[in-house]
Amino acid sequence: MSSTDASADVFAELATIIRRVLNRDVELSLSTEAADVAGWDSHATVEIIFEIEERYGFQFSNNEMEEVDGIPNLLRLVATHTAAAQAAQ
Amino acid sequence: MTPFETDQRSWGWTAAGSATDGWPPRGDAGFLRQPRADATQPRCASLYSTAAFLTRWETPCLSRRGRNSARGWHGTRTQEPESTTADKSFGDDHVTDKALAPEMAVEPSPQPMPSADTGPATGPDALSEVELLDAFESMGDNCEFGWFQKVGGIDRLALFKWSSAPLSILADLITRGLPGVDDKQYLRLRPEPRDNGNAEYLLEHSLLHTPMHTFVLVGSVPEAVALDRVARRMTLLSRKFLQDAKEAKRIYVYRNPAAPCVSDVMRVHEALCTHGPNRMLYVHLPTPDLAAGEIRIHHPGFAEAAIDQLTPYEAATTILTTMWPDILRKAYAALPRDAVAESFRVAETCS
Repeated sequence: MSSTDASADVFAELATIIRRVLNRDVELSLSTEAADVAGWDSHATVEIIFEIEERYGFQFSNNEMEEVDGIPNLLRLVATHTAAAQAAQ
Repeated sequence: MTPFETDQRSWGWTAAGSATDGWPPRGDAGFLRQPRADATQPRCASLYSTAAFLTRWETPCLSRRGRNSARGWHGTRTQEPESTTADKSFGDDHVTDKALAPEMAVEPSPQPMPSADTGPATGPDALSEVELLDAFESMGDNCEFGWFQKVGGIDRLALFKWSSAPLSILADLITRGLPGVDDKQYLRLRPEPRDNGNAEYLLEHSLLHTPMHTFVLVGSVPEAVALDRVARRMTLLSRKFLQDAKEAKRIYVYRNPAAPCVSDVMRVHEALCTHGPNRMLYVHLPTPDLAAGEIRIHHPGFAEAAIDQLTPYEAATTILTTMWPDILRKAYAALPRDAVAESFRVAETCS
C-alpha cells in the first residue's frame, strides 16, 4: 500500500470518527479546520481524541492534544505516532 | 447586545503601565498592590508548607468584611492589624522588593518575561489577544471565563471550565491527583431545559459536588451513550489537567462573586503547586481594599484581582464587563512564569 493510500485510509477513518462524534454527516476535506465545522468545539475535540487513541492505540501528549484543531494536524499526528510505532517494532 | 459583544474582537486595552521588566512587577500606573510585609517569616520557608502561611493569609479575608465585622471568616473575630506602608501600591510609594513579604523578595529577573507557552520571551503587551487568552485556564466557579475565552478564540480542553466545584473539594481532589473523577458511580445525567425548547444533559458530579455542562442534547443520543461520552471526557480531561498542572504552563483563573476567603482559594493554588510551580488568579467583585481593576499579589504564584462585574450563574454566557482583558494583562505581568518557577525552586531547595 502506498503512503498516499494509507493517508487516504487514515483520512477516511478520521472522517468517520468525526462524523460519529458530531452525530451528523458533515462535509470534511484534507484541509478542514475545526473552526470551519459547526459543533466541533472542545467537547467534540475531547471525544475525537479519545476515539483516535482507542482506534490507533496511542496516547496524545498534552501539547498534541492542543494541536488538534482540524484534519491537517490530526493527519500529521496520527502519521507521526503510526510511524513511531512501526519504527519501534 | 452585551458590552462585551460590542468589543469582543478588539478590546482596546488602555490601561498604562504593565510590568514587563522582571519580578516583582511594579507598574507605572500603580495598579499592583503588594501583600503585607511580614518580616517574621523565614526567607526559605517552603511556600506552602507551614501553618504560619495560612495564618498569615487570614487577615486579608477579614478586611473584606470589615474590621468590626461581627462574624469574621471561619466564624471567628479577629482584629485586623494596622496597615503598613507595604499596603500602598507600587506606583504610589515605590516600595522596594525587600519590603515585600520575604518569599516575595525575589531578585528582579534580568530576563524578559516568557510567553504563555515556551515560545519567545515577551511581555503581555506584545501578546495578541488570543495569545493572552491562551495563557489562562478557568477553574470556575461558573462558565463565565471559559465562555469569555471561547468567544475570544480559545476553546481550551479544560476540566473545570464548565463547573462550579467547591474550593475545598477542588483542593482535596487536585492534591490527590483527581482520583475517581471519571468513575461512573459518581456521574449522573439530568435533563436541563434550554431557552430554545431543547434540553441538555447536565452532569451531576457527586465527587466534585458540582453540575457540569455536557452540551449533549437530550434525544441526540441515548442517555447511556451520553454517560459513556461524559465519563470518557472526564478521563481525558483529568489526565490533561494533571499534565498541565505538572508543566505549569498556564495561569488558573477562579472567579466568584461571593468572594470566598482568599485563604480558601489559595488552598486550591496550594493543591496545584503539589504538581508544579503553578500560578493562580482569583477574581472577585471590588472590595473596600481592592478597587475594580486592581491586582494584589499574595504570593509569587498567586494574585487577587477585583473586576467591576461578574456574570450571574443563571446567565453565565453573558459577559457583563469589558474589564477582563485588562485584568488578564495585569495578571500576566504580575505572575511571570519563570520567576514563579524560580521562587519555587528556591523554596524547595531551602525547605
